[in-house]
Amino acid sequence: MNKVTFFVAVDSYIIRKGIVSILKNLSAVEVLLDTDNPDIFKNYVKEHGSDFIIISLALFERCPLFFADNLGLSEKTILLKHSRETPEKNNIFTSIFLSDSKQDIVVQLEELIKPYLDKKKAVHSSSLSDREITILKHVATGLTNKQIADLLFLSLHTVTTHRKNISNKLSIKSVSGLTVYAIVNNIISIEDIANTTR
Amino acid sequence: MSDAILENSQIISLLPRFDIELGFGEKTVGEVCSDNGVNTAFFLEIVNSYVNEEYVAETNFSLFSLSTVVEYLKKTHAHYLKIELPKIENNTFSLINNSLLSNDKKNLVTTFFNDYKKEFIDHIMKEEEKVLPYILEIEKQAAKTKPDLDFVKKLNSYSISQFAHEHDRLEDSLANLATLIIKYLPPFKNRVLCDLILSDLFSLKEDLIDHALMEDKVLVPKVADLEKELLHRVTS
Repeated sequence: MNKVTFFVAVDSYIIRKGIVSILKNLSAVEVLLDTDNPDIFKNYVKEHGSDFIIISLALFERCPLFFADNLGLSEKTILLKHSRETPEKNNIFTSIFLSDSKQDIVVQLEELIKPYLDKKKAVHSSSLSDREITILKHVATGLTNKQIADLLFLSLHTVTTHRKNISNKLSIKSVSGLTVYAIVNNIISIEDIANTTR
Repeated sequence: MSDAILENSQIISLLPRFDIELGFGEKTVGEVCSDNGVNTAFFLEIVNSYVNEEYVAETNFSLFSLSTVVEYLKKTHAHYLKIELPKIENNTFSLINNSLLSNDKKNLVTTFFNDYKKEFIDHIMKEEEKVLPYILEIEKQAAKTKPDLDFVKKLNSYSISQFAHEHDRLEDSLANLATLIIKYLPPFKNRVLCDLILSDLFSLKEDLIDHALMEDKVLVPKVADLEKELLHRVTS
C-alpha cells in the first residue's frame, strides 16, 4: 500500500496531536514523525525525507537557514499559521490556518495529497515493465520457462530473471498466485486458462 | 466484559488467543482476565488496537515484556492455522466441488488455495522457528548484566530489520481470491456458502493486517532497540 508521508513539527502538543489526528483520518496517509524539537526534525528530513512537512510558524522561524539551504523543501512544506490575519510573509509556502474549520482543513489537505497519491498509484500499477507483463501473461496461462523462451526468442536465463523480478515486485511466488493476479488485474481473461494443462 | 463484546463483536475471535472461555456472567474485564491468568493491561491494549486501527501507532507496548507479546503472537498463529485457514479451506473446497465450474477453473482455485496455504504455513513456521525464539533470546540476553558475547557478535550479521524486509504481504493473496470470486468466476448456486467464504476471507485479511502491524510497528522497533543497546553495551 503506497501512502503519502508526513513529518509534523509543531511546538504546541495539543495542536500537534490535533494535526496528527486529522492526518490519520485521511486515507492513505502516514505520519512518519511528529515532534516539537527542531533538531530531531532536521535530522529526519535529512536522513529520511517525506512527501510533506507540516511545520508551525514558530518552529519554522527557528530554523530559517535550514529551509534556505534546502530549497527543494519549499514545495512540500506546509506552514501552520494561527489565522488568515497573520501578516503575509513566506508566501511561497502553502499555509494551513488554525482558525479554519476541520472540514476546511481536511478538504485542503486532501487536495494537496491527491496528485501525490495518483502518482504513487500509477507507479504501483505499472510497476511491471511491458516485457514483464508479456512474460506474466504466458506464465499465467501455464507455459513453462522453456516454452516462453522459445516463443519470445529469449534465452532461458533471461526468462528466469524476468520471472524472479515479477515475483519479487508482486510478492507472489506460486504460478497459481500469478495466474489469479493476472486475471484479477485484467492481464489475462479467466477463459484463457481453459486451454492450458496444469 | 459482556458489554464490551456486545459493543464490538470482533473481540470474540480474540478470546481464544488468551484462553478465555465464554459464559462470564457479570464479571468485569479485569476479573475475567485475572481468572484466566491474563495481563489485563495487555489484553486491553490488544483489544483497543484490534477495534481501532489508529490505536496501534500511539500505543505504548513498551510497557509489556517481549515474551508477553510473543506469547500472544503464537496464540494468534495457532488460531490462524487451526481455525481460520481450515474453515476457509473446507468451505472453499466444498463450494468449488459442488459447483458447475469447468475443471480448469476448479483446478485454478484448488491449486491457488493449496499454494497459498503452503506459503502461509511456511511464513508462520519461519516466524515460530526462527524469529520468535530469536526475540525471546535477545530479551533474555538484554536482561543479563553480562550478555553472552557470542550472541552479541552475531548481531552484526543478523538483525530483526531483515525480518521486517522479508515480511510477506499474505493478505494481498486473500484479497485476490475474494476478487476472483466476486468478479470473475460465474455465480455459485450455493449463495449462502459463497457469502460466508467471502466474509471469512475479508475478516482474516483484516486480522492479518492487524497482526502484521503489530509485528512491524511494535515488535520490530522494540527488538531493534534491544539490538542497538546490546551492541552498544559490549563495545563501550
